[in-house]
Amino acid sequence: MREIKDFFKQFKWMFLAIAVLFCVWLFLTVFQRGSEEAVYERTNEECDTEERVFDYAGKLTMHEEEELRKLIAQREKAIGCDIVLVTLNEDLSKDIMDYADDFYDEHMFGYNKPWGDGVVYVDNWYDGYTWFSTSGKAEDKYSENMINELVDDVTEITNENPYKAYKRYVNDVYRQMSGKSVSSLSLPLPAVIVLSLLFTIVYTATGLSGEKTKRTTGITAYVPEGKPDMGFCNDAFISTHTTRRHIDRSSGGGSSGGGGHHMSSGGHSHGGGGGRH
Amino acid sequence: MIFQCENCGGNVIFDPEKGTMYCPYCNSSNSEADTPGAGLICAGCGGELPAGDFMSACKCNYCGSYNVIEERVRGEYAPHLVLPFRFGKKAAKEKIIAQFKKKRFLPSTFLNDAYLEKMEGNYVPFFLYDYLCRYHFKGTGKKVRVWTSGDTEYTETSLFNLERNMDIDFSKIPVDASIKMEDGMMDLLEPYDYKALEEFREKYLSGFLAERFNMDSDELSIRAKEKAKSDAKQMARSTMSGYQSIHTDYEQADFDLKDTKYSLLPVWSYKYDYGGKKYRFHLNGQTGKLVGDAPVSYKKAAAYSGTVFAGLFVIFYLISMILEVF
Repeated sequence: MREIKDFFKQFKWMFLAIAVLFCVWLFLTVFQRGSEEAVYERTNEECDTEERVFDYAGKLTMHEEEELRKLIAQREKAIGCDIVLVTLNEDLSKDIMDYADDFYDEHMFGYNKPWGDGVVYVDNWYDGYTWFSTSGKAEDKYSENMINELVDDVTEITNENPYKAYKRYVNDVYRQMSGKSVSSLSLPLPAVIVLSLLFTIVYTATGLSGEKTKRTTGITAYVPEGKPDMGFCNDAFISTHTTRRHIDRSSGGGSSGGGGHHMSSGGHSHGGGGGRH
Repeated sequence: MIFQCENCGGNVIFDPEKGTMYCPYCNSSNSEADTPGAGLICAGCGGELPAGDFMSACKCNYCGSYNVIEERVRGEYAPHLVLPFRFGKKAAKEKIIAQFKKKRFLPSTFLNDAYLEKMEGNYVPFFLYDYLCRYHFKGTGKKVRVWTSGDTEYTETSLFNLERNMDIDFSKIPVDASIKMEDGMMDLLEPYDYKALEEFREKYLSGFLAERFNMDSDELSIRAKEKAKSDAKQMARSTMSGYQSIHTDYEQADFDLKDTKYSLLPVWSYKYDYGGKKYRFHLNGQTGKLVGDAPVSYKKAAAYSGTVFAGLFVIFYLISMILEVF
């Protein structure tokens, strides 16, 4: 009985933290659903597909594709724009910008109408070139700087973690179109496990380590006069020598890209910009 | 010998907090009269005392009276000095609890009152040595100075001959003369405040356990000299400042024994057996300094660590979910 009492006493703060975090998560989830539900109604009925994730390069797992679809559906409703992702792994016969524009036009994407509001991000793994194409209100909204920021944001992590990069693309479009902030922080499952393990190791190690009793007797504790009677004390200089060493000093630097408005081969206006990973 | 109350006949004991003899039966103070015993037989009930070969004061297993065994505190075994306990069992228990209550993986019974109640106050036999030490040191000291000028770093190394000759009057270096007490633990209990040392009186032992010395004073003097030499070396080193390193070329300590006093010093002891291991804790009966390593319940450690891991996993997972919501 006492052991159980001790146990709960020891972990009361942890249990309280779990309860508080759970409530925060619950509140935010409900609040977010309430505030973002059906802000924009999709009115384009001519678009030939419901699909938004075209992973022709096979860079995503089924689970990741599904997660991206969910996120895109949620973000599209919030900003009223189609958000399309295309990954390729081929030697394109035409310019990637033209490919992106044509892809968008051929499928008649657009949230409000065919060739209307929306964006498409094409990532060709064959040569690493990417293109972000905008249309409708997205074209009006996106400046060259915003395009560069998004492309740089995505391409910088594409090679290490494609899923994270494409998730960032969707979130960046949401953030830039809505003006609302999106947390770039994330805590993947392996990080959760490693962090928990590290803290547990520290907790266990500090619990197991005993503080050794230190000697508290001073060196003159048994000398009533408090100091020795110094008969002879001499520090005599013998020799000196000096060595010298040359210090090397040096330094280093880094790079970036952009886009603009143009007409696609189908005669529709697009904006956009590209980069490479 | 036992000390009996003249008012009620109960066993009178020494009360450390009050500093007087006290009868726990009728609350009288200084009402003791000594009743002589006969060897290892209890002066209260005639039962055999659990005194072993060296106990000079012990508690009768039959009537609970505290006996002082005269022949082990008189003649060649008569202590010169005694340092009376300054606090009683209640305060000793509180000090142990205060020291260990924050330990996470203590066995649940470790701080139970039923276990702590078994603590015993022991007068441990010590020899206190007075030495005149003549310490002589010769060595080489190295001073290093580093500075930079432009793109060049300069390192200047200077060597010095160091010599010290000093006389040190050591007084009352304590060395325990008990086989059963671990030397390392007894050394860590130091220092004692010798101003409270008193001429030995048998009444101080009533209410406590005590041992007569059971190790030879000459044999123990080696440990006293080692302690003195270590202190002398540090005193000499404290006069050599500014050196990055000091190499000893020659070191000699000569000792003249001036006096040895056989004394009894106060120690509270707590014995705790757990997981087949014997844990011993000692408290300086004058200063309250505690020596001893806490036992660990590995079962508790595993359960607590598992809970921490699970709890942290849930906390971090919830944090990751909250971050995703944003």
